Amino acid sequence: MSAGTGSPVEGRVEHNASSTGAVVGRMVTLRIANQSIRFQANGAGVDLFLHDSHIPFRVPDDTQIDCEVSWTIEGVAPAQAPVIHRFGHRWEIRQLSGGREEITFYNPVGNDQRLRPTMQILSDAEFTSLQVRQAPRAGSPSLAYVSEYPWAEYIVQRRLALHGGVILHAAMAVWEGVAYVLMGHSGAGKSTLAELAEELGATIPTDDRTILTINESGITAWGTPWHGSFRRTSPDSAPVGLIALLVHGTDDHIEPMEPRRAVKEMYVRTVQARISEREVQRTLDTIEVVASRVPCYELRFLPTTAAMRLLRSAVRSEFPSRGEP
Amino acid sequence: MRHKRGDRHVYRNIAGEHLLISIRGDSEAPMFALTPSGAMLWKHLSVWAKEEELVELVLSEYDVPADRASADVAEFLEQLRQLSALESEEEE
Repeated sequence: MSAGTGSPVEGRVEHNASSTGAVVGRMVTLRIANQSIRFQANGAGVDLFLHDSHIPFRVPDDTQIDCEVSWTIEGVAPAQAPVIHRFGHRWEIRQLSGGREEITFYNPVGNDQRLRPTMQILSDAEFTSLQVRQAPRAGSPSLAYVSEYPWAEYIVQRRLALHGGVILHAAMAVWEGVAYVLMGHSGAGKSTLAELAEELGATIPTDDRTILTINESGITAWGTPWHGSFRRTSPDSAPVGLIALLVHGTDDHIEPMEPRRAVKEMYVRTVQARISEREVQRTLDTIEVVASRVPCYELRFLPTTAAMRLLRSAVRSEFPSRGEP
Repeated sequence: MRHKRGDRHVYRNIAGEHLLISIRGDSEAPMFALTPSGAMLWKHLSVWAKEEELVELVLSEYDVPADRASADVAEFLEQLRQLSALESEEEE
């Protein structure tokens, strides 16, 4: 099947040389961490497209949802309303009546480098009900790219910021039932350490974006569809045993971080659209609880499996009940 | 001239540290540490205030000479201005 047929049947699609996925019909529900989002095609002939990285996050459509997204393919034009945030030349947010927001994204179209509005999200104040307009694309005029970066991530960011939870720029390794959250900016070694952890038997639900949520039993880390160079994605989750700030070193060494520093290090590594005071305060609420409940360390390391073993020894000292496997 | 804090930052006390945090995601430096006196002034700047009122506030709370309080307040306001965290207007 080729892209752009408009057929409601499911099938594999070569989206482009580096990205493949599937046409999934007119409705699809994704569960990313604790957020269930249902996407629905709006308009005759429109089909939804999911990239491979998102397919493991698909759940049955009768799942109770947190957010409903109606997706239309049509021309995109910003409303006549004041811009409240503008991020570079690529996207801007307008405040509409009733607390609603309109987010418009701009991109070059084809060989024309001028930026044009290509995507728009109209949301209610709680990011519970969304309408997306996607400009028609040459070659695939009826495919709705619901998982195309960064739309889905943006929706999850806003849902978490408003309702609790945080996306960290961090890899996640699940080893012996415990999540190791490996935090760092680009180039810090997240994918490298994740790959080494996998050699030791850990699973890697993500090597770039980890979601943390709080529940009664503690802090949970979740894999996401957004990966780094190691290209690992999975919806798996696990209780957090440790959070490590990755720093290149000349040997392997861990140092505990005080909650005060841990909050700051985590905050600057959040992947959150900081839009409102409410969202910033809620994000900080989450991070403060995480930093108070989870041991946080700075890890200076060389790229060998010894670094992960060092982290495991720290988890075992924090949680003596976790013996040898 | 009177001053008021802007709406691009939030104040947060984290484990005893006074932090001013940028709401905007495009800020290159999203966190700034405040001294206790800076935190006090920030809270007071929730409403319009004249510089002299802020100096009086410092003098009422801290045992410092008037010229030192005046210089500190002026420096603090300038720092907020550089962070785009301050609104200022001529008095009517």
